[in-house]
Amino acid sequence: MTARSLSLPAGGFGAPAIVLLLTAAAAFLAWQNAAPSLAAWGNAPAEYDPARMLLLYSTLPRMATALICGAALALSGTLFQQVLRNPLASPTTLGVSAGASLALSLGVLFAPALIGIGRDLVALAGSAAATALIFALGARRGFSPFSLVLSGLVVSLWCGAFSSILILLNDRYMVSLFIWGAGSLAQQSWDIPLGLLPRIGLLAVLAVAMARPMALLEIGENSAGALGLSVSQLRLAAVAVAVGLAGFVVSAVGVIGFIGLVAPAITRLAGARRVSSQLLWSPLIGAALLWFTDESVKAMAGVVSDFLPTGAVTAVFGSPLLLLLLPRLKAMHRSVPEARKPLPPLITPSSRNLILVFAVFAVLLAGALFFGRTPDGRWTWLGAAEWDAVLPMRAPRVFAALGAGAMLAVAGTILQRLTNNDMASPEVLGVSAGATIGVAISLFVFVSPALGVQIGFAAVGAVVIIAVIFVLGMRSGFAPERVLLAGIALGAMLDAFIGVLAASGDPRALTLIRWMGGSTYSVDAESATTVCVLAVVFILLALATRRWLDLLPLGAVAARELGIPVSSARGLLFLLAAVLSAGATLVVGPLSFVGLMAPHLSREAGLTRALPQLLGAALAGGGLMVLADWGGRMMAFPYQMPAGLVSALVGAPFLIFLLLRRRA
Amino acid sequence: MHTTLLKTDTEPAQTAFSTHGVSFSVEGRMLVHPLDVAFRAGEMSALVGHNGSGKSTLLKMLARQIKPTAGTVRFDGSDIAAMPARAFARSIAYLPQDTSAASGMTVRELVACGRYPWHGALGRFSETDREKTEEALKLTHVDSFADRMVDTLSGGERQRVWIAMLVAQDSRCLLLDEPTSALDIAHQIDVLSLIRQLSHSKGLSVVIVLHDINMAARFCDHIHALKAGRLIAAGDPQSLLNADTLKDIYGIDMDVTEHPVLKTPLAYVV
Amino acid sequence: MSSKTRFRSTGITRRGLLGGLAGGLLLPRMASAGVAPTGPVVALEYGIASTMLTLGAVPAAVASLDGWQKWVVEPAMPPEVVDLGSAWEVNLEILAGMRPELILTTPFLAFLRPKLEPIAPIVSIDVYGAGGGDALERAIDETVKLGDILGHQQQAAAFLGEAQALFEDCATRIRRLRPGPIAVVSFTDQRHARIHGRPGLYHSVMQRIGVENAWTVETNMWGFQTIGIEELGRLQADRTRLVVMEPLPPDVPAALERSTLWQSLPFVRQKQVSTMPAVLLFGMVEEARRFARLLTEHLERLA
Repeated sequence: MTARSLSLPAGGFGAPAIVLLLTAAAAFLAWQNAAPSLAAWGNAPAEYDPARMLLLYSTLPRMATALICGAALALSGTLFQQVLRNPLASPTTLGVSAGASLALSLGVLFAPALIGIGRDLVALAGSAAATALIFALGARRGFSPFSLVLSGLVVSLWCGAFSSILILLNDRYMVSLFIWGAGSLAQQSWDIPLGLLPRIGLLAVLAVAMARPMALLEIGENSAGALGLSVSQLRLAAVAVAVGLAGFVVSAVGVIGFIGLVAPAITRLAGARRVSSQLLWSPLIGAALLWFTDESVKAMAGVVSDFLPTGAVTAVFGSPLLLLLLPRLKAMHRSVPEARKPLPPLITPSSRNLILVFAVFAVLLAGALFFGRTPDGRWTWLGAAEWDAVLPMRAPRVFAALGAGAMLAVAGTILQRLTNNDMASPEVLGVSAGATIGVAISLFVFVSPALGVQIGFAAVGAVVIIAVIFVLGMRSGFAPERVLLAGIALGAMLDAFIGVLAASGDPRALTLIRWMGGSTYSVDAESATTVCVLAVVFILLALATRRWLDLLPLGAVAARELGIPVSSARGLLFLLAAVLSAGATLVVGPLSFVGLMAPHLSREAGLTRALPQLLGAALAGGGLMVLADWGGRMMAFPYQMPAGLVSALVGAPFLIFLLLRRRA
Repeated sequence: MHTTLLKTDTEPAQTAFSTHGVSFSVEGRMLVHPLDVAFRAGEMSALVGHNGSGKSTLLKMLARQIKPTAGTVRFDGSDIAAMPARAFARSIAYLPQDTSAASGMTVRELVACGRYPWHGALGRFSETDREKTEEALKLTHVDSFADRMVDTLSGGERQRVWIAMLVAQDSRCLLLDEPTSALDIAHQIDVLSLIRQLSHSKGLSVVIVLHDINMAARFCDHIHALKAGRLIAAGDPQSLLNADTLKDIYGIDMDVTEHPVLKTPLAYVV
Repeated sequence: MSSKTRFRSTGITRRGLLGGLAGGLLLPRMASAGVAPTGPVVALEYGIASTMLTLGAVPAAVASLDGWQKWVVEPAMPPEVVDLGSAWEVNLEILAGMRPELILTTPFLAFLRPKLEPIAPIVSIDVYGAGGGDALERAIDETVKLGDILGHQQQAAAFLGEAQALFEDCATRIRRLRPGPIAVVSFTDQRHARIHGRPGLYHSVMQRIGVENAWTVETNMWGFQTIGIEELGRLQADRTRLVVMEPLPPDVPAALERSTLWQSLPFVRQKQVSTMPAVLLFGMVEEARRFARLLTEHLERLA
């Protein structure tokens, strides 16, 4: 059986070959990196030989850490992808690092004593808390992959937004968090590798024990259940082990995200078909990959003489790799999306309620424009005498938030319907990442570019990414899964880049973090008008595609049978979503939680057909963004929080409430 | 390690499954009304009825895929709700209406999955397991393509492979939910003959949901007819197939003639 | 917009290389040149605010005032000064409501110009950022410039004179101590630290008072470099001392205690490690003075 499980189909280039190649490359680099210190070996007096100390207590433990962490993360990713039936699932999906990051921020700020007891324990507690919350949410729906992934996403976003706000309010405290967030493998003792080894080993044994039941998932949940497998228990156990694996790694060395996504993908592409062989090869590939990356990082750090955190650099390496592999990636055995039970809508679309909705909306806009605080912090309605002075500062922000929110919401609705994936949102498309990369480049060209320059660069970045998505997508006929994967790869690359900057201590990272938070601060009257005009034009265009959006979710076959030119329709819809998100990103930054949430809100309100869902989402998105912008201006007054972060902070719990309601 | 229930002609047929006041409702709508029905051991029983009659729901309750709203299901006299999952699967095999594509698996691997209830998550894949797998492959005549990938097979071949998996499961009872619905007439006959042959040679109790009353009459020993969640008729094909009962079941005018060769009753729409 | 920004920043950096008086060359470009402002002046950055205070001018408002007590400490900020919110997103409604006569900012916040220009004239004080140069010299230049702008030339001259005297005094005391090379680090967590070097303020001050910086590698624009602690192994020179800036993360001492590598470092074995109170890294002359004073006292105490 083992012999057979290791054999590979002809044509695949083979997992063993990949492991061998990566290991050889890593070993070569390791030799290169260690050569100077090996040459100096023995030159010093016997009682203290710096070269020897460095090799024994820094170089070797670092290697061991890289191997252990790479294997653990890859194994974790394989487990996630197998039981959640989703090739995009990875340790970050279930909030492992987001929870840990939030716990660390809170610890550093409010309970330094806890950090003193153990940074890793604080991080682990955070991971555990986030995962527990996700499980609690998932339990109500039998741990279905859909509910786990969606609640994971929402909880991650919430934790991420919360810790970003803490960082923005207390940037000087957070240096350590930046390094942690970018995953450094630097070691000065054997503490970390030796601490990790038994924990990871134990969990790996548990994972192997689950190989057989997991293979049964391949034949479908009903059949697996009929064979006596408790699918929900298995999923709970596997996810728990996977979270444990990633959690230990993250708590020990920080966020090293990409391995968990890319190593399982490489393993599958290399022809490891069976679950048992994936469980074997994925950790080996992960270990070799991280070791290779780390040695490359060390080699590069020598050249640029700057601090390069491995975790972030992994993503820089991994993203293009994922892009290259995309054309070879088969559509993953996905579980059938669960049928949605029709719910009693929160609001019935009667004309009376329609008027009510518009009334609420009007009150919201008026409040955002006229209700605020005086410099000493008192609440006040803006007197007519001050309109001339204050409204030119406030109004553009309010209207830009409105337009951008609506655009993101419509883009999100299009993407979710197009891809049949409830996780899809504009940022997943990579367009906003492209815009942010544009801003990052402008920061390096000009050191402190004016806002107009930043927006210009952002636009170029977004357009380039749209072009890349098209070139990549055209070959696959815009298969939704691939387009999303490409977007995720680009997003990871961007995060990595910011991670490198932040960890090195470059203050420009804060500019990017702020930009990513989605602030309307930079908006002026001109850009607000542009956004609103763009919003109206492109949302009208989106409404014109409602027939496609009704039919495409039935699947490519049914849609084609009904006479839809599927490839061009998908291409056009992706383009529309990309332009909508680019337009919004330029004014409110790339954090498009609204784009994820508004379509759900709209659907939960009983608007299931494309046209009403689009309209409802636009209204919800615009309203939510206006509210978030106002909240961001008020809650830490006179300090201002980016609207994107605030929308995630208040929106996520609301979305969770809706998810819970669904079960009742 | 496991006893095969042999069918004997002298002994009156024992009961495999029995339901006791079993009902199922969703959001206040009764899909299956409280029902007492028994399925005989070693026989092939058909569940027939029009769409929405509750036949699949009943089968799923027998298979423990869904929990009855009220009442109990007994297998071999014991409440199935109390059986451990794998013990249940060792006794009862179930084939859902929609089987997954099982992409990325070979035929042999899929069939070997049927041994899970015996070896479990950690047990060794024993020689017995291997033998049972090979035997199932042979019995269902899928051994010739045992190393092919499941997703490259035709519909009829694939259905046979799934049945092979159920055979490898080595249970005493098969629950099949419309196993022939996507097959052409030749493959329908092929699959149902296979099931009947298995039932009789291995003494398996089979409960099968079928659309086609004539197929049910031709292959099954016993037919249970459901309508709107109630059992409206039961009996052997000869006694059940008559104009009145058929009209009751399907709500259209039907009559019965005799198969010119097999002499079994043959229903047709008037 | 962009060309304007660029023009300004190149003008400023070139000026940074010239001597102290050159600061005045750019003043004719500014609305309030030579005339001391009578209305409110706001400062968007700590270094500028603290310099203002030492020149006897009280800013009407300061950005990120919330953190002053934690990060700058002295000079003390009068209670009536208004908080403008974070420097990145200065609260424009408050700022405009104050009707300031002058806004003091840094090139680093140049992206705010389009927002600030309609409110009041802007003067950019340039110590850090592109253009390089010795941080202390640039800070001294900018202090002169600030004195001119605020009409506090005498105070500026007096303050700089005092500072020079302090540096001289420190230099004399240091010469007596003859310390070995000193590396200044701030620990960020158990495994990482920032080490300070050229062209940062700490390095400038050390050079000014005659302390050799053990870390000879060029660091980033802001004068520090993030390193794994094992890289401290490069500091093998004789009599090297490691000065650790506070605050020290609470989990670091225990972790270092356990690390064989750390224990083997020469300055650890020779017990040449000590900690010193915090000094604002992105500061100006006042912070330089504080650092010089604290470092000298620190070394004297150890001697």
